[in-house]
Amino acid sequence: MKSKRTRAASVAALGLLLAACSSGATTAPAASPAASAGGATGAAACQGKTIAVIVKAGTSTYWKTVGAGVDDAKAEFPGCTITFEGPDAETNVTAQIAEVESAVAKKVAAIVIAVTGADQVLPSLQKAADAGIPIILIDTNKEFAPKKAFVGTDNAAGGKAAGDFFVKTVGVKAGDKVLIIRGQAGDAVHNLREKGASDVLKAAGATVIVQPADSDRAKGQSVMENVLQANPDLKAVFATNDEMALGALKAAQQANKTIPIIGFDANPDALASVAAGGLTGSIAQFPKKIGQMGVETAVKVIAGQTVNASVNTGVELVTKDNVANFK
Amino acid sequence: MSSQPEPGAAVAQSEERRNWTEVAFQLGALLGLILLIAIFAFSSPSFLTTGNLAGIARQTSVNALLALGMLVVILTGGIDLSVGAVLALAMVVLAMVITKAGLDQSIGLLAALLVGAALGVGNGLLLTRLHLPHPFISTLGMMNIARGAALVITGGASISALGGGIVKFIGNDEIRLGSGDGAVSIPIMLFVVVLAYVGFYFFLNRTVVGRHIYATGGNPEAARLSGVPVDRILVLVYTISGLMAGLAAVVLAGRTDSGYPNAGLGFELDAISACIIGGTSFFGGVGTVSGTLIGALIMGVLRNGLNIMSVDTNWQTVVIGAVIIAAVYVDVLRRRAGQSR
Repeated sequence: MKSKRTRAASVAALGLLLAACSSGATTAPAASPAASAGGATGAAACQGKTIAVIVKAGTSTYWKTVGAGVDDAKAEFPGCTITFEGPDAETNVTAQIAEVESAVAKKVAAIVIAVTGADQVLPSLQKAADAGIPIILIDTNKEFAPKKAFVGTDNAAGGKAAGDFFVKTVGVKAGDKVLIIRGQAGDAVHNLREKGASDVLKAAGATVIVQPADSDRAKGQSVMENVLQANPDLKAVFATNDEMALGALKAAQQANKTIPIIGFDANPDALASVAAGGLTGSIAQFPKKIGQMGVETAVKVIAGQTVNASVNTGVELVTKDNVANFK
Repeated sequence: MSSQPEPGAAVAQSEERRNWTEVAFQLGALLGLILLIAIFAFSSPSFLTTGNLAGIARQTSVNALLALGMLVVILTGGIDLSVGAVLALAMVVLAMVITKAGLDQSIGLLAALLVGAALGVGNGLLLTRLHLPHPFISTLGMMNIARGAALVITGGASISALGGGIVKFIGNDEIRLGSGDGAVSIPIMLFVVVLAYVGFYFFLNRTVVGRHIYATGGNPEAARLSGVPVDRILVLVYTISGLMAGLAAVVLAGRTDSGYPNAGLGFELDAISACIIGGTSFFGGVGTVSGTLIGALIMGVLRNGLNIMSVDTNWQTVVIGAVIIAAVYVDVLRRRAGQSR
């Protein structure tokens, strides 16, 4: 019993340490007297309380951007303690479970979490909810009854934006072939991106070919080469992440073909390619907003206000015309 | 002194046994490959075209190179789980040497080979000096270290646009034979793969060190007693595997014109599959260079054909699993037939 508690305490200490590291790098101290913008009513609600933000991996660029949004929220709610932590890798499900358990042990006022893995973390979250801690899911939505809200990108809307661009601007029409290169089979995020695009394209009468490339650049390149062999008349390509889009672009260039290609994520590499006239576009999501609005939603819940079950942080198609705004 | 004549006898005996099983094994996997090609050729007119065959060559090269390194490791009864991550680290180092340091691509190529070989030496020393219980552990650790290092030095971001030079030549360029519609393009990397396979064939079958590798896997204790420097052989095979991961990194960097820290995720499983499909035994001592090539081709042809036929995403996963099992089962049947004779 005693050793268990010591362990929980040390995990908690480690979590705090991690949170201190990742936030220190990005912004001014939370005590900054600046903006008390968004939370006119909420600021008092979390006064003296702790909100735990737990992401999938503390180290990657994407989650650090989410963390920058959390830092913005810290500036909004100066009286509240907001921790930010995550395992060393997205695959480290056990570490995230430990982080949830330590948040429960600390009796935090709310948990804002991007659940990693399949559903292994949900039982621990259920225990947190049973202990009366409100749960806000961010980034990745799950079937989890006690959740107060989901805050994140509407992935289907992102796919739809790509499909709409192909139909309206590229002029994809009935009978045209469009390839969708998608991430790992069964992955919920990629399912939504694929469906958003393919619904629009099929409604326009296009033939949609869907092939998997595990979110990997080299595999995206191979899939594009192979599909081009059988379908040299491909009209457009949507990849459910930028890495696969960049691979597909390389394959198209190698085959001396100019085919509109849109990726997803608007990562720096893809934006550079869009600016240089390589990729046609990429769907941008707003990870910073996911962090910020996740905490804001938690503060509202603590204050007892009603919140939307699903808070969309927005998507935007980045093309050559607006790429300058995203660099 | 008295142990002097024994190694020769032991090797001769194991060689004779190998000849029997080898022939059976190879035929089994080759049969599977031919069957697979026949099915795809029958199903799609786009499959057996020179353009698509060049595509299969390009898509199979990286795995074919990794599988060669994996073969020598598995021959000693070991396993190298780190090859995909080592490839990623070598690839991003190559990309950074070229783009960040602004050096010539030849320096990037050397850096990639060096990184691969160095991590391979590390794997070997972890096993022989630290006496970690099994290479599964040492190479699993190295896998995480290399993957993490690749993420750390790039900050998790990809590096694109490596420009021209030897890396682009190896991974991207091709030789055009003929002209007009009948022109055939042969990827340069195909020559690299062929050279590697011919080289490994002679190394494993015609040199003393090659025979020592088989002997180490067949029975390490007997090999040690008969004077085979087992520890040195083990360090050597992991170094070779790391070096091949470095070479594969060069090919992949040239092919994708980039270096990215998430490259090679799961490649170790493809390389292991190629070896096993090609008749290599997990217990060591049994396996061939030609079988490994056939195994790698089965994996490459399978992925290519499924794309060409636009097979449903979810079903592709099922089919790949089923074909791997079927291919190895054909081998089992062949081996049984060989033994009963």
